[in-house]
Amino acid sequence: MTGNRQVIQKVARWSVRLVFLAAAVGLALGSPLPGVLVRVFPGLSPLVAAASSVAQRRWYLGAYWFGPPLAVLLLAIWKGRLFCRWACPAGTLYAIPSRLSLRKHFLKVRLNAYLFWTIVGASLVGAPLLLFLDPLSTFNRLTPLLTGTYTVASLVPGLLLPIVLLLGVFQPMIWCTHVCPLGYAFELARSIRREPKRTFLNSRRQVLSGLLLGAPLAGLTRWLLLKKDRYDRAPVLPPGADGMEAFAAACTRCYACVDACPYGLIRVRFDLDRAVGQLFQPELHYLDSETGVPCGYCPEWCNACTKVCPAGAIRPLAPDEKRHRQVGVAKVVREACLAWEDKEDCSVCQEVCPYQAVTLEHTPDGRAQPTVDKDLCRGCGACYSNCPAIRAGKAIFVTGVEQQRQVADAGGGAG
Amino acid sequence: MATRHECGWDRQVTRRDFMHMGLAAGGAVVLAEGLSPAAEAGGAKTDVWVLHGTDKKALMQAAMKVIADHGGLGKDAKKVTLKVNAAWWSTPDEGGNTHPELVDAFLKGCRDQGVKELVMPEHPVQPAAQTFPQSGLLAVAKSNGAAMLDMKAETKRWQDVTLPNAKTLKKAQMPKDVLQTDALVNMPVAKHHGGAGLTLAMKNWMGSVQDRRFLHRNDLHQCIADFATYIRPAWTIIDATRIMLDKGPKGPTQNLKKLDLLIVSKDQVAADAYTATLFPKDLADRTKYIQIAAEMKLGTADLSQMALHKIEAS
Repeated sequence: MTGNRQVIQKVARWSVRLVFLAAAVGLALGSPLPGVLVRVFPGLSPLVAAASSVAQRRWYLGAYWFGPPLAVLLLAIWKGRLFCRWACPAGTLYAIPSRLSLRKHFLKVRLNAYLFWTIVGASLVGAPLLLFLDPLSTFNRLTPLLTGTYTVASLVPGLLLPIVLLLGVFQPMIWCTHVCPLGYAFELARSIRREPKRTFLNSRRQVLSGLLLGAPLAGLTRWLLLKKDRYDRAPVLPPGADGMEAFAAACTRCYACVDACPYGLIRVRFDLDRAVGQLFQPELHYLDSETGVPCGYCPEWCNACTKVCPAGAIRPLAPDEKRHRQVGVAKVVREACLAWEDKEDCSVCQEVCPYQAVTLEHTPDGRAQPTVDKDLCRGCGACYSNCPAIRAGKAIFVTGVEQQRQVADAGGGAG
Repeated sequence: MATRHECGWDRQVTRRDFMHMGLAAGGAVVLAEGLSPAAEAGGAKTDVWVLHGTDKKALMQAAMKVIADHGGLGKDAKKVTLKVNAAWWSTPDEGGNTHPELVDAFLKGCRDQGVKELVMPEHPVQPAAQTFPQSGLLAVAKSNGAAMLDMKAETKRWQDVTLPNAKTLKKAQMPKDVLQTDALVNMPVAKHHGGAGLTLAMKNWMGSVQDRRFLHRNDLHQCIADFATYIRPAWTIIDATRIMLDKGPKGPTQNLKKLDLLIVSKDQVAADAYTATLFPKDLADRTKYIQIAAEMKLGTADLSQMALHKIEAS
């Protein structure tokens, strides 16, 4: 191989890498491209697709979104880490400090095999722990910073990427060679095809320890870290989430849904009223905690977030399914209510409810007093964000439901 | 007589001039004496036209003829501001917003009368990006070259106003185009309203105020009547082609009654009072702002003081 050819290859590789990096940023930015494309990069990972499917005991990917991770897997079977070296946007970033590296190899043990098999073991038990280490989700986690949808809390799990960048100054490519479970999966895919027997013999220790570690760890996590019996106010999860515990476990914290929400309602918050496993999960917030101004509500025509989750933590919902999805339930606080307590003619909650879930009882002098029908309420927050009460704060609040369900529409009504 | 100019017909000064005068003088000049158009006409009855017809285009054309025959939009009206209801994610058939076919015919009629500038400011309850297209109103505004303004986005078009004759709503922010125009026309849709009883013409001004919440906290009906001390449309045209009898103001409801009516008047209180009679009595009774406005002498709510002109449009 001549030096010339090497240079050409290097230029070609960096060109391709930069194209992929630009594409990842561009798709995350969305507009003018469709917002749904934010899931393309985090959705490329066959590790996330497979582990999530195993953990959730169902194949959640539709026809379109099944193709890309399959293609990446086939690429890995054919060429191993080709994806890492030419396409992975996180890998591209990590390669930059590694070029100026001090070459102090402080991490000797390759953790990636253990991490990979821990994920496999945990997924078998039903809680795909450590999936947030997937490099594509890690990269995407920072895109709210580009789109302006970030919160301070969303930056904490986002720190993984800059920390690795910093470590790369000491040990070149530390993440890719020693930690990345996806990279290991690619290696494994290739070596199984080429030398199945040797692969098994070489990696049996990692397989065993990973599985032995992952399964009980996941069980323990489900028991200790994902469960919370009482909330002051239970979180409202994006529509399509499959129960509090399952959502917290399945979410890779890629924050594609944070980017996708056209109304900026899906946010990451610091909240002590959460189980450890729920930390930094994206939730629906109808009030901006920084400004104290309502952000709006989750409107009846929108299902944007249900289309972007690469991990199946938010299931795809058709617009009509979304319209009938109960993510929470509103409740009137009578002591704060203008109609109940202040004797005003206010029925804003009833007016703005898209589902006619707020019913009014009329007092003898004709004043209307609101009550929420919890079998009709979807928890969309329209009442909450429009409630004009200020004397004792808002007079209607939405609390998340433990298990989301589909609810029926109000009947035509009589009289 | 100042009140005559204000009401939009037989004008020596344009409405725009008047509004400027009114703002400069805090409105007191104009609003000091009784405002009822009936009183102004020297005890004569207040005209209310009730037009019936299944063809919405013909219905509005008939209404435009009534308007043209009774002073029109004012001499040399170049700018007309139309306040529709486009607050809700509701299709024309569901009756949450003003029907677009009516608005289409109205805008065309304005063009025929030589109006150059058509503005439709709306401060919708739900996001305009959805309500404007869903209502069908954005399309007809565009096809007629009218500017349909989302007041949520047009923050610079809000203007501070004081309402000197109001009892409760003494200060507000309203769209410039409502305050400064040659002819202001209100075209609400009549429907059930859970809190206010009925949504009618005066209630429709809630879509022309920046902070609606104040009204809910401070005697809603009085505040709605207070609008009528200050906002004096040249014409009020109430869309009662189909009316929600319950589940308003958004709907949808199965109790949607087809009436095929337009109620037209220069007196917004009279228009509301007549339209309220089309609904069940308990809803009409709950709509207290009509009575309050009548007591404040902002118009007549007394049907015996109205000259009802029933017209069949076809």
